[in-house]
This record gives sequence, structure tokens and C-alpha cells, in this order.
Amino acid sequence: MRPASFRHHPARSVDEALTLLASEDEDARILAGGQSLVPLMNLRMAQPSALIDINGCDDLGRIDEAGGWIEFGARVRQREGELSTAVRARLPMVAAALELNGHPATRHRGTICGTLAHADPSAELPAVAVALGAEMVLRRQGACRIVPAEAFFLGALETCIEPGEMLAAVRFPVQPARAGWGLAETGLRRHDLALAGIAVAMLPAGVTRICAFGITPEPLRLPTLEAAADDLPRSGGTPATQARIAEALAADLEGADLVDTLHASARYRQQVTATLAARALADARQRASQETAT
Amino acid sequence: MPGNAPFRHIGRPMPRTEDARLLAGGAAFVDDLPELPGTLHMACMRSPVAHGRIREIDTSGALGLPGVHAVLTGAELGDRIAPMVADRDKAGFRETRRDILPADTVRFVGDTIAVVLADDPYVAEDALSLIVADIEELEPVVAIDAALADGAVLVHPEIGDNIPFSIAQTTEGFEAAFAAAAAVVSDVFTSTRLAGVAMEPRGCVAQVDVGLDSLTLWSSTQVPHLLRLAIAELLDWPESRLRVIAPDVGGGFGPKAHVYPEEILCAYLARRHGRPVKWIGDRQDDFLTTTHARDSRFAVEMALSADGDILAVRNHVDVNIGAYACFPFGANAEAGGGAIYMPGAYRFAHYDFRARSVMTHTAPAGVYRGVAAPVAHFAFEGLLDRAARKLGLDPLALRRRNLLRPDEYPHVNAAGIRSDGGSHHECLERALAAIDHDGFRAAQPADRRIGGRLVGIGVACITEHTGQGASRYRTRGLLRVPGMEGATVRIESDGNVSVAISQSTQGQGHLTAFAQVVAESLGVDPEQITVSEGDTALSPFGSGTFASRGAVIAGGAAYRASQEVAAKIRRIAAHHLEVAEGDIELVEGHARLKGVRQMALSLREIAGIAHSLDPRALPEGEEYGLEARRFYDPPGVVLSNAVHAACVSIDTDTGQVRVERYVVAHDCGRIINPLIVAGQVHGGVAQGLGQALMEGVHYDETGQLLTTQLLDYIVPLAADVPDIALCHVETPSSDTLLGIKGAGEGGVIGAVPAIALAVNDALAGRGAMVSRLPLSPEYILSLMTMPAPGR
Ligand SMILES: Cc1cc2nc3c(=O)[nH]c(=O)nc-3n(C[C@H](O)[C@H](O)[C@H](O)COP(=O)(O)OP(=O)(O)OC[C@H]3O[C@@H](n4cnc5c(N)ncnc54)[C@H](O)[C@@H]3O)c2cc1C
Repeated sequence: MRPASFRHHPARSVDEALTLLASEDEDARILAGGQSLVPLMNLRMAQPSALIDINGCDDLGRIDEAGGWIEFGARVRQREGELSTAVRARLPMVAAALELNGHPATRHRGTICGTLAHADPSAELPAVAVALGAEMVLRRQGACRIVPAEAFFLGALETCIEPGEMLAAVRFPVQPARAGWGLAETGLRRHDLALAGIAVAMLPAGVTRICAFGITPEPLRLPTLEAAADDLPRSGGTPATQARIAEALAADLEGADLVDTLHASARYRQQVTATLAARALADARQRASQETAT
Repeated sequence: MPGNAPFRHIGRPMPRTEDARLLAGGAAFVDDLPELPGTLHMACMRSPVAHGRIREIDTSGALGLPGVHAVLTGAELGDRIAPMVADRDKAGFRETRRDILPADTVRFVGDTIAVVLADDPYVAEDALSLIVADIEELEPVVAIDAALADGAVLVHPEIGDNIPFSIAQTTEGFEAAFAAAAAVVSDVFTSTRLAGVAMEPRGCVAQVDVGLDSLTLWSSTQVPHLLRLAIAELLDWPESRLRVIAPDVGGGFGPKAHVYPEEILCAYLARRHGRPVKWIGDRQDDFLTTTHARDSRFAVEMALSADGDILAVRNHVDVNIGAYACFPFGANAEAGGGAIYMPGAYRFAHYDFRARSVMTHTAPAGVYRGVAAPVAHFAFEGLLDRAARKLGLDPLALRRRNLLRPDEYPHVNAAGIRSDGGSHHECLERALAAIDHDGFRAAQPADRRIGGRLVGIGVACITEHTGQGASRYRTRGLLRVPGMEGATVRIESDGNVSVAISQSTQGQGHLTAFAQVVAESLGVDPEQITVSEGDTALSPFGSGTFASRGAVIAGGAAYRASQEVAAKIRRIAAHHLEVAEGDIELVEGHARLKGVRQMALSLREIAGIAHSLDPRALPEGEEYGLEARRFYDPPGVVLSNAVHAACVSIDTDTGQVRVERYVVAHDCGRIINPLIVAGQVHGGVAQGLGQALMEGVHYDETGQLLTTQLLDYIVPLAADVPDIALCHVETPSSDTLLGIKGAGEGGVIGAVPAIALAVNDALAGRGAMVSRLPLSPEYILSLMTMPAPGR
């Protein structure tokens, strides 16, 4: 439980962080909330050469809403996002995902961008970002590129962030009125890491985006289930509906690299994903119809 | 409390005096002790393979790192530290040895193969990665079946097989009784290996006075006296020059009742280098090297008459004890316990048991809160559910029929254990009422389904073996566990009271409970009494804190010592008040003529007289000082009993089990402090819930440990533990001083079967019953989706 030695660079602004990143070697890492990085360093499973500490970067600490997007800077804590009235009103699924992420104590330090950059297979927010069509703002000294969430996650703890680059912000399209959403997960305990989970975003135009987490190394879009979602009967839970969901899911998971661990086999994960999908779809549909009513 | 009429302090729900300090961060655990000047920090290199032969360990790289002081391997150590030999060859036992630092063979992932001493702990850990170990990998055995197979690889070839302990016993007439049965039910019950997961991992600091060649060792241990004994034996060091101190200890639960190589190494290295040596384990060390437990399999058969009398029980227990016999408890704790604990609250005359300890290339497994009892009761209660179903009887009626009644005590059970009393029926009815069993049943649909959940209720009747004295440890064949405890009670010259107890506390509330016992004898406020524990230099010799022995045995010793001091106080007071000794009472800090306030001497005055600080002299022939040291060794064992009732619900989509309501009716004899008993039960239930639903240590087939962090080893969190209602039933023991019985383990013992039975009940519609622990969501979902038999 003692990290190997490393260089620590506190940065005061995003520009300073980018300069420091550029000056360091390939093994330098951003230190955000430290809720995943520090335990890994203590176990010496991560041995970064240097940490660029962005906790002092006030310019990365803002939640901005403009042009139909809500943008979270890299130092916005998960708890800030969860409690923000703008987020609760216009990105309710993001707030819900953050509530499921760890505990208040970890959320007070952990950042929104940190959970995305960390890309844990069981994390909620990456799947929600894919389902909602979020965009990643990647910056390096003198350059910036925008990557859609779906192209950002490459595998377990793997993203397209390159050495010298950081996730400066993430932005989500605000949800239109009459959008529905559903988020369901299961773990070994209450308030635990997800063994499997599902995020459903239902847009008014009849577009449904569904993304699973916890069952594959990276968040997985489920196109067959998305296509089937529209003509599934409105009432969830019936055996026929369940069977159709399970069938669609099986098609989507064909050939996928399923997570198979001590605590839950791939088979179990697939089985519960189907029932979670039914719950999340039913929730999404119900919310969409409530939105219509108002 | 009318039952406690003669008592003023015993039985009082007094808040724990230690809490303010513990809760406000005032405690000092080993790692919090101010660092001694010149301290060297020890880090341990663990074997990366489960079984192998050490060819060479190249330490040159590590030695070259600035700040590294020394690196020691088994080859260099030679025979300068004696091996741990926990058991001797005798009937049922085979002697095996554990080298403190193996030079030749490694036997589990975590066996220590080299240690580094460095100026700071970070450098020590850096140095580990510079040690190059060339180990020839050998085939390991990991699981019980593999270790028992013909031609299995042997963990200790010198014993000829992998069975260092086995015992078998059959009551006379067993076969005939079994054959006469109307029904037989049987199953194999298994439990996944567990870890104790104390909040504070193990750690120790050794300091040697070079001139005196004397040692002080601070260790996070439950057994300071036994640790001192071990250091003396393994390092050939006179006990008179050894002092072991257990400072505040952040949880023990049994694993810290063992002596570990790191403690011996720190003592050895401090002596060798003439500098303090400190080792603080981390969570990974803890999972790798601190003893595990409960890796067991119970193959059980129960024979019953047509109307449900239990006639005979057969119990074949195999326990995976890992690579080494634990020191000092040896190889037999869990296997022996699994056999002896099974006949608990129920009456049956015929018993056939066979118990074996099986060695494998995994971490040593030893005592952990409840020892084998949670699984033994899980198996027994599980069979009762099966019997009820087979005979078409109500499970509760079957239990009522077979539970021992108060008029059947004293009772010697089929395993030969004598018990002086038990309140099983009373506890059962109290628990059923408290959880509203009838109301639950009335509301429970036949298919158990309410919304998306299945609901069930489980009721388990258990006993807890507590307060085992010297005779029990001798019967169990233990060489280094004395069984008794000691206490010193001293009135200081100002009239305040110091008490030193031979045990150590890991959060059980000892300091409060023993103060209440002493206060009872001396007629002073418990707040005026300072209890200390854990320091071999201050306390009399004794065994330590484990196996629910504290209240009974250390409590008994404190009572005896305080009674002796009270007698002397009475003699001095009687002399100066010129009344008869028998007419003196000790109340409110005074010795006075019964009922006469004016005829009194304060304890302060009496202490002054006894310490020659008062013009008045001691009576003729009386010694100076006001102090007594006494020991207590209770006869045999005393059984506490309890009934646990749990309501659970199961998510039909995920198989996740939630404990919704929980009740315990608990009888630990005379209660010293009901708040402390409640705390013990609550904590125990939480741990039992962990074993029932989620906890598990896992090795892969090559012997690699898969659960090395709290991310992989799942323990219950606050949100998983329901409120626990507790009814106290008080049946004082006639066998122990003050009628006290122990209360440390019943919470775990009862929670495991109660939750399992509730799950059986919730699954009743499917015909499935659980037979292995933990009841993980995946296991439960697989039982739910199993085709229902005969439907
Ligand atoms: C007890 C506990 C429970 C938890 N439960 C959950 C849970 O239920 N669900 C869940 O999803 N997570 C959970 N987590 C993980 C938690 O959400 C982490 O906070 C999050 O994964 C990382 O955010 P952070 O700000 O702490 O990042 P850090 O730990 O500081 O960094 C994590 C990684 O991301 C990199 N990084 C961080 N920010 C950036 C950036 N802006 N640009 C580039 N790289 C960056 C770091 O270099 C590092 O590699 C839990 C953690 C704990 C301790």
C-alpha cells in the first residue's frame, strides 16, 4: 500500500496542466479526484512517472450550459454534477448515474471526467455518455479535438486519450422535453459496483439509444435491441416481451468479449442484462409518456 | 432488572468507558505509536507460486538500493530461528513444521521468502522488486478433493498424506438406531473460505535493549502471553526478558489469535541489528498471509422417526487448513469443532462423526469467530428443513419437538459435551413473537412472490461453546493454550483501583465489563476503576482473547481477585471500627457497618492504612498493600444459546438476497452489560450475513489468490445490514462464577443458518434448497431457474 516514487506537479490552470503534460514523459498521468488512480498506485498496479495535479485548476471547475449542451470541466466533482439543478432538470440520467457511482464521500472527490477517462467496465457514466451521445473535449498543448463518446472508449481502462493529451471537458446534449430515459444496474451489494447495467435514452423522434455496461470491457451499444425497442409492447414484464429482449440482446452480444469474473459469470451477466433492459425500457417509456403529459 | 436484584453494577447497561477514546481518534494502534529512533522498516517478499523449490534468491540488487540496511533469506538465516511445530505426533495428530523463513520449499502464495530492512517503508517496498527469486515451480494441490486423491502431491511429505489431523467417534448402538429410522435425509454442505478482515491489518514493532538483551514487542495480537511464549521458544530467549504489548487493536476475530512469522522475525531482527524493527501489513498482506477459515465440507445424514424425532446423525467433516498448522492452535480447531459443535440445541442420542483436516498449498486456515459452528449449524438446520419437507411436517413443529427442554438439563450431548442449561424453547417463542412470525406467514403468498420478489422467513436455534477452560484445551490436545486467565486487582494508595487482566481487547468493551465486575465486589463506582490489558509485564499470565472466553474466565478471575481484596478491606475496616468482619458492607466507596452511615471508613482511608500513609496501623499480621492476583479456570465449557429469525426477500430478476428484518433472542447467562452483549450480537450478525451472502476467498487452480483486495473480497456494508432486534433471556450458568456465559460468537453462528433457512423458505415454491455458501446472486438465480422438481 505504498506507491512507487513519482514526480508531483500541481497545476493552477488548464494551460499550465497542458504545458506540464507536454514537458513530461509518456508515463505521466493526470491526477483528478484520485479515487481510482491512488488505490492503483498504492497497489503499484499503476506506477506513473509524474502526476499533473489538476485539483488547483479553477478554470476546469465549471459546469456551463450553452447552445443546447451542458459541459463539465475536468475538475467538476461527481457530487457537483449530481446536485446541479441544471443537470437534474435537463440531464436527469447523468444525475442518476452519478448517484449510483460510489458513495457521497468518493463523489465529493471523484470527477466526472475522471470516471470517463478511467473507463472502468463497470462504471455507469461511460455508458450513459454513449447512450446520450456525449462528446469528449480532448486537449493537448496547442491542439484540441472533439471525440464522440462512442469512439472514445476502446476497452477496459482504455480510451483514445493519447500521451500529452487530457480530457479537458465532456459535454452532453441537453435532453429535449418528452425524452425518456432508464438506467438499471445490479451488483453484489447495495450501492456496489455494477455486475451489469443498462442505460436507455429515448428521444422524441422515436430514436432509442441503448448502452450496456459491466458485461463487456467497454460500454456496448445494442443496435438490435434499439431497433426492437420501438415495437415492444408498452407493458414491460410479460414473458413474451422478456423473451424478445433476451433474443435481441443475444444477437447484440454475438461474438462480444463478455466479462467473466469470480463474482459473476458471463452467462449470469447476460441473463440479468436482459431483465435489467426490460426494467430500463419500461422506465424510459413511462418517463417519456409523463413528459408528454406536461 | 429484577433478575439481577443482588447486583448493583453487574447487569447495568453502562455505556462503554473506552468509546470516547476510540471514537474520537484517541486510540493508538501499532502504526500510531511514535516511531522509535533508529527504526528499521521491514518488508516481506512473498512467494509468487503456490508450491516450489527455491533454487536461488539474488538479493544483491536490493542491497544496492540506497537506504536498504539488510536483506535476509531463509538460506542465510539457517537454523537460527526454531521452526513452529504446533502439534506433536499422537493419536489423531501428525507433526508438521513451519519454517519462519523457508529456505527450501514454498507452500503457498504468500509464504515469506525474504525480508528487507530499510530506513523507510517506501524504500523497503521498492527493494522487494529488486530481489530476484529463482523458484522451480512444482505442482500444487489447492482443493480438498485434490489433496485427498490417491497419489496427490503432498504438502508435507514427511507425514505420508495430506491429513495432519483426523478423529472419528461413534456412539454405541448408532448403526441400529440409524437402521430403525423411518426417514433419512442427507446432503453435502459446503462453505467458501473466508478471511477475518479486521479493520487494522496485522503489524508489530520490536525494540531491544542491547545491554540487557531484553525485548519489547508491540503487536496487533489477541494473545500477548502466548506470543511471548512463542518468542521465548522459537528464539531461545528467557521469558523474563520479553515483554509483549498489544496496544489498541483494530479488530481480531480469531486470526490475530495466531502467532505469525513476521512477529518472530521482527523480534529476531531487532536483536540481531540492535535497532527497532517495524512491520505494518497492508490489506494485500492480510489477505495473502493472515489466516483464513471455513473452507469446509460437511457430508451429513440425519435419521428420524416417522413423527419427527431425530434418532441419529452422521457427520463427516473435511476442512481445508492450508499449508501449515496454525500456531499455537494446531491443525485441528475447525475440524474438531465441526464435529463437536453440531449437536447444539437439539436432542439426539446417536452420533457418528469423522473429521479431518486437509492440507493444501493455500494460506493457513485457523480460528475465526464462530470457528466451525456457523457451517455446522447451517448443515444441521438445513437437514431439519429437508426432514420437515420429507416427513410433511411443519418446520417449526419439528424444531419444537426436538429442542432440548430446560428440565432435561444438565445434559450430556451425543458428542460428550456437558451443558448445565439452555433456554431454547423460551428463545424460540420470544424470537417468533418479536419477528411476528405468524403475521409474516399470514401475509406470505403460497408462491412466496410479492411483486418482483420472493419472500421467506428462517428460524435457527443455535448454541455457542464459550468459556472453555484448561480441561477442554487438554482434551483437544493443545500444548500451548493454558485455558485459564488471571487478574490483578490493586487499590492504589489514594483509594483508586487498578485492574490488570491477562487478556487483550480488540473492541469488545473489556475495560467496561471488567470494571463492572470489580465494582460489584468493592462497592465503588466503575468509573473509579482503571482496567488495563494486553501487557505481559503488567498482567498475570493467561491465554488471551478468543473463543468467547473473556466474560466467563477473565471475568471470573477479576471477580475472584476483587473478592480477595474486598475481604482484606473488610478485615481492616472491622479492626478499626471494632465490629465483626461479617457486619461490614462495601458500598459507595466506603466500608461500613451494615446500614450505618456514620460507622464507616472510606476506601481512601483504608488504602492509606494499607500503604502506611495513615496514622492508623494495619491489624496485626496483615501484609502491606491492598492487592490480589487470582486465576480462574472454569470446568469444561459452558453453552450459550440463541434463536435467530430472519426475513429475506429475493429479487427474482437478479437473484440478489436482501435481509429485511432480523431478530435474535439470546441467552448468555448472567449478563454483565446488556449494551456490550448487544454490540457483540450485532457485529456477529453482520459478519454472519457476510458469510451467508457474499464473502469468499478464492484461489485459482494453480493456487494464485484471486481475492487480494476489498474490491474482490466483498464484505457487507452498512446498507446491507438490517436493524437487529434483540431479546435478552438470562439463564445463569450453575457451572461458572457469577453464572456468566460467553457472547462473542453467537451472532455469527446464528446468522449463517437463519439467513440460509429464510432463503430456503423463499425458494420453497421452486422446491430448491441451498447447500453452499455464500448465497451469491448467481447461485440463487440458478436455483430459481432450475426446473421445479415433480411439477
Ligand atoms: C469506494 C469506491 C466506490 C466506487 N464506486 C464506483 C461506482 O459504483 N461506479 C463507478 O463508476 N466508479 C466507482 N468508483 C470509482 C470512482 O468513480 C472514481 O472516482 C472515478 O472512476 C475516477 O475519477 P477521479 O476523478 O477520482 O479520477 P482519478 O482517480 O484521479 O483518475 C483515474 C484515471 O483517469 C485519469 N484521468 C482523470 N482525469 C483525467 C482527465 N481529465 N484527463 C485525462 N485523464 C484523466 C487518471 O490519470 C487516472 O488514470 C468507486 C471508487 C471508490 C473508491
